[in-house]
Amino acid sequence: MTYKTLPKPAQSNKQVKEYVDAVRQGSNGRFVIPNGKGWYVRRADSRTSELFGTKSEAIAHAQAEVKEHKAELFIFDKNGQLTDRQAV
Amino acid sequence: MAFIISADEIKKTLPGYSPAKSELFHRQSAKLADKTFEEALKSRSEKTVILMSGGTASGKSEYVSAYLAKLRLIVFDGTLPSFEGAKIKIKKTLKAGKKVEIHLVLPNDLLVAFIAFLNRERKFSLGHFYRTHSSSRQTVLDIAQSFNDIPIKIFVSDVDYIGHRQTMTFKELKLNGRGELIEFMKQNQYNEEEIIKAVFNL
Repeated sequence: MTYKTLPKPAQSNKQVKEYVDAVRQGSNGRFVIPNGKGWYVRRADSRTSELFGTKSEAIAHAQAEVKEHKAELFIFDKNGQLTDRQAV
Repeated sequence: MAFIISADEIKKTLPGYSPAKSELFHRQSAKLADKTFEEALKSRSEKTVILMSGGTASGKSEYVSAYLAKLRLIVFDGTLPSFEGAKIKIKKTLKAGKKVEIHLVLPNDLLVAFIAFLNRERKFSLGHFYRTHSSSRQTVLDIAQSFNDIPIKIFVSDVDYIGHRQTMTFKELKLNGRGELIEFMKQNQYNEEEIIKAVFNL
């Protein structure tokens, strides 16, 4: 199996620009996600996270971060469903 | 120029539509897209039909606009959520005397597609994301196993940093024959729970 890289789409391509803008805008957001060990907070585009004992501790920490970065907070349940979305 | 049929574009023409209510209009726009497709098979002169597949926000429409829009094709820009639906489209296309190809777009990182999905203008429930990223892979595997003569191409989308600027990139997967394609698709099947785990790194 090999890959052939396609020519980069034009920067002026409206649909590509909207997609990239959505990713750029969302990357700074914070996810609050439950796990068996507690509640994790992580930057949306990161695979590393901080663990908190309670949901309220996790949300408070995430709210401070999104305020600093002018981003959005997304709170999920254990089934991956969005329970709250906050623009702080 | 390609004749592009997209339920997402059709719904913008429906009375009362707003991006925030996108999911409510999906069934109606999907029906209209199917009807438009059938009419196009009868009336359009393009000889080749591309059926797009891939989960929502995987980069299908971006791929279509970047690489297919200027070619003489009929493009059905949907997710191909079911094998039954795909079979009907394939059979109708062949009956109309046209060639058909499947183009599947897979995100290199499901998390990037998930972030795009959460932050783009048109809104759907998260279930739509998990469902379509699972079902489109299954449909393409089923087509690969049942329609040996239908060409299937797989493209991988990503958003990369080039210098300080983010840009979208696409790579075509080059597989050595049908057997390797089927094996690749078998190894890349995920149910909805596995999609959720991959997104959240659980």
